[in-house]
Amino acid sequence: MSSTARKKRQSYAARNRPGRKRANRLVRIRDLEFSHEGRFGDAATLFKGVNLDVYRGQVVAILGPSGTGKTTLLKLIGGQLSPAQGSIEVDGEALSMLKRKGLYQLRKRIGMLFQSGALLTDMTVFENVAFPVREHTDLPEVMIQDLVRMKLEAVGLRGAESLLPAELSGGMARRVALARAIALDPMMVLYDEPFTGQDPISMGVLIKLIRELNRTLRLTSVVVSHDVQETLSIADYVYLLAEGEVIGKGTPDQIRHAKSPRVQQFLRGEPDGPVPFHYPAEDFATQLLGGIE
Amino acid sequence: MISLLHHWLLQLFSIFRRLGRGQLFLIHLLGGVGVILLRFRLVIQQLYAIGVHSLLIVIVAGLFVGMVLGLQGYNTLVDFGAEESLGVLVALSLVRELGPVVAALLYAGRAGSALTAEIGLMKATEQLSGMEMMAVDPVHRIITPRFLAGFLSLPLLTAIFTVLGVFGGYFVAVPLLGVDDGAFWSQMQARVDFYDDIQSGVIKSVVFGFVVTWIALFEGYDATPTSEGVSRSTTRTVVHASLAVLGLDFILTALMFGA
Amino acid sequence: MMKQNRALEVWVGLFVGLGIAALVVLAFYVGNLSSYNSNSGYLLEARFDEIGGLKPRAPVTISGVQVGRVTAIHLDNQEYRAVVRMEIDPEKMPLQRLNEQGEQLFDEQGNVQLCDKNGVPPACSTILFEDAAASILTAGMLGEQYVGLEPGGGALAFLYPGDEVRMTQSSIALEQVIGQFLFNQTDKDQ
Repeated sequence: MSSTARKKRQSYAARNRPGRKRANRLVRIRDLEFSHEGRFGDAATLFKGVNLDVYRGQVVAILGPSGTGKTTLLKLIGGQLSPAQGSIEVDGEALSMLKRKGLYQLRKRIGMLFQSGALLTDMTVFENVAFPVREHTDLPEVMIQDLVRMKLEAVGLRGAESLLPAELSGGMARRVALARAIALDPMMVLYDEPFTGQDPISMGVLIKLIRELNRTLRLTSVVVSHDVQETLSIADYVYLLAEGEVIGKGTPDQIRHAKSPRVQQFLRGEPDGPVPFHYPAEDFATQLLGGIE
Repeated sequence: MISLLHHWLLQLFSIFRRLGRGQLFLIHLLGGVGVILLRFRLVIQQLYAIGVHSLLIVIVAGLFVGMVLGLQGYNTLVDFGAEESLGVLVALSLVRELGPVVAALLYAGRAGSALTAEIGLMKATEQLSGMEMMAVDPVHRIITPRFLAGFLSLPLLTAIFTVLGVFGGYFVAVPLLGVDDGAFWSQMQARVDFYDDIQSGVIKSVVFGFVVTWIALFEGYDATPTSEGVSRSTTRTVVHASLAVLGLDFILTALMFGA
Repeated sequence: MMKQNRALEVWVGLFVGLGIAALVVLAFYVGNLSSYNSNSGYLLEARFDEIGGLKPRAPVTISGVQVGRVTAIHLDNQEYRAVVRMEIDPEKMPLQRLNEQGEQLFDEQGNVQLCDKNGVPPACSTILFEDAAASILTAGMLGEQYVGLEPGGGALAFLYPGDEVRMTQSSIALEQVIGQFLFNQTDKDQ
């Protein structure tokens, strides 16, 4: 990192000293508002005033029903989308202030695990993991080989290095993607629905990996998911999102014992409750009668 | 009525937005040319996928188009006792028009659709997005090499198509129909002008290569990331690229050969 | 992996090589690039009453051998005649060496001594005499038109590069020939 950027970061930390924990904060989201743009310029609001903090070294889980924009939230943190309102700061840098170059510098320190794995289909497992290393460094081939095999060993797939992504099972693909995400030794890894569509064994493997990598590589992890039990079992802190708002936050225990009916409905998986079973519609009887006329 | 008008206006608006996005996309991808030329291996890989894979269809089509031209031309020219001019007829029609246009249409169908589908699927499977999160610009890393390779491939494919077409015409004219060997070549060489004919044919193929590759890549990059969206983009690539080739051909012909 | 790369490179090399070879074939075998010699020729001019369908780039020949091309055609405003400028390839119709009196020089075998391509007057002249003639001819009945030069021989002096060929025979239009023929026929009948 350039010295000016470091200075900027220090001065930022100095300005925000009141609490000691501030310096430890890696992601700070305030009053976030975001809407998806529809095909003809209409908009669907995803977030209305979300506040969220991620502290260094923690595994932070963001839970919520599908369609609440959890993936969008990760893209906002990664700077792929920009918010309509509010601020997002990552590692002390406000994303809205960053130019393209600064954003790319920041992204080199962030790994992201996509739901689909997002492996490059025309490259072997080895080349996929080597991809970010080759793109961003001029390391000699021997060192790249060692580095890639180390990362593959960490996810237990060193033996699969010559396979193509199409030859991998879903769980294996996700582990390869994880190896790729940590290839450049990032400070933070974002996990997008890591447990979706996994059999119990791969799920167990992934849970173990997320927890262990977070500890051994001193990562910070943000896990976005709707699998309640698995996520609660590894998280240090949990945010519950629904309808564009944070409806609950706290340690897994605090969440489990929260009194809010919406939180309880989500945790227990009840079909109807504060979050209605029916998609908003006009009264059914009226609609039926209207059809007759 | 008003809602229909409203709908049309919105459609028009979205067409202009697409055009604008296409321009920005072009500028973005051209910005990566410098970096990619230093990593020419990436372009070579794409030359294989785009150029070499289109070779067979271009060779076969070139031969047959030339043979048909020879046959048809002979039947017309023989009435005027001018069958010696068959070489001129075959060569001029191929060099000026059929070579660049037919090769570009084949290229749009063979390589253009493949490019769109590939990029569209990469987008649908989050590969482009994933690259962006790895701090790698997907437009520079993925699109620019393909653009350069396509831009280089089409003029070469066109030249191959044209030469094989001329030989196809020769095979029909000389051994089959008994046109004089010497007259076939000498008349052709006397009448096909390097600057007027061949150079303008090459200019056409360069322009077509640029435009068809651009359309194909943009359609892929701009595709709705679903299987339906990718399939619609692929169709659009073939239709739009073919129309662009035919329209541009008229404009270029008017510019170069005089209205 | 390595082997696969090599095959790929061979194929791409083959493709590019084939493409470039095709361009070369187009330029030299299908087209006429081989007949262009960029700017190395010398100029001659001729004025015609009627050029018919003569176009720039039409061939210039002597006894049917192509020695150059028409480079430009324009109208002489004073005389209302067409000025045809021709570029002659010195490889095909060379310049000859002259002595101070403007006479040809011969070597031991009795051959005319030639200048190299860049020879300049008055030491070098064309091999055409001053009474050389230029006519506009048609290849076949309906073919393209070209300029035919005749070297002359009655005069002692030679034409220099850039000179004008004074004796000209204009293009003969088919209508004129037919008209003349009919006119002669009616004359005979009377």
